[in-house]
Amino acid sequence: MPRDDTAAPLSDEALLVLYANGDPEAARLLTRRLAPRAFAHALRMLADRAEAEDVAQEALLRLWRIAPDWRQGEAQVTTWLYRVVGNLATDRLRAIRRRRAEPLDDAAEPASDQPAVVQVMIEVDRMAALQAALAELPDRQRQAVVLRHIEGLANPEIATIMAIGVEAVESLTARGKRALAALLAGRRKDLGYEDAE
Amino acid sequence: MKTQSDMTPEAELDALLTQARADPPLPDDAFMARVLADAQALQPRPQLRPARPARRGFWARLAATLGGAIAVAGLGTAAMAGLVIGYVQPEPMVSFAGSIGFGVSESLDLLPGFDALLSEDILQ
Repeated sequence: MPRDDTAAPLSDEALLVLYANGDPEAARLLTRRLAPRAFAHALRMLADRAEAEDVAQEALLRLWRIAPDWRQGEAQVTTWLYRVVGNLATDRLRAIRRRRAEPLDDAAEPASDQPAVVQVMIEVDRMAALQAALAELPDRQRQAVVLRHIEGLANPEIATIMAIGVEAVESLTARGKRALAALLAGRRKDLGYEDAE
Repeated sequence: MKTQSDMTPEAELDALLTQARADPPLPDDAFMARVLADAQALQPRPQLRPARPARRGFWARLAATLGGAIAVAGLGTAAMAGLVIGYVQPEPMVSFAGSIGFGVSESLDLLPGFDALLSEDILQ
């Protein structure tokens, strides 16, 4: 009988134990819970859907492999997953930069000389502007800002994920937000905000 | 009501981040299917418990303790022989016992009386 995941949801850790014991329902529930989060975080980091899928799938592959040896009570499953996704995404970004030797966000730059396209971006895809601005941040600042302000995690958990102190997290998120605000302000004209009356 | 053009860059950023949190990018079905296939392929199989050996009965365990069915049969035979010999006192056994100094007695006094202890020699 399928387990009801809404009435009294089991913790990720409990589901991982069931998964390691061969419960097929646990595999389905964990995939449904964790795959979208891993994918979303990877996409925020990489700004590329195909790369994000690769990274998220690889991170989850590692989770399936270590499930039988998971040490209960040491870390939350999601904390571990964010950490692996973050590390894999950072590695992927470095490899991409080495290959291309050009900024990742070129493809996402709004075409400021095409007002019709810009107008579509204003109305439909403000997220693309945010994503493009995020992509211009240094990797660590981007990771901290995404975890704090988009994933909504607390600073101590972010510190664990990024293997740094809480003060360093606060510093990264503050600098990241300032830089993001400046980047978006610089794009206001390009995005048509200045004359969008 | 404030339009986006009225918002400060910080307020605009906060609004964008809030919207991003509320509306995360969703993976497509093919990706979800790949992840689930990985999970199923790598999932440990349930461990089948080895069948418990049938519990043996009292007599079987006793026979095993004593050294097997043959030993139990020998023991039973010896016990029966002892009973028969003791009960019928066959003549050859009686004469043999008599020849080595064990005569057949009709009664055996295991608790001597006190008469001997009351003799005058002991009392003096």
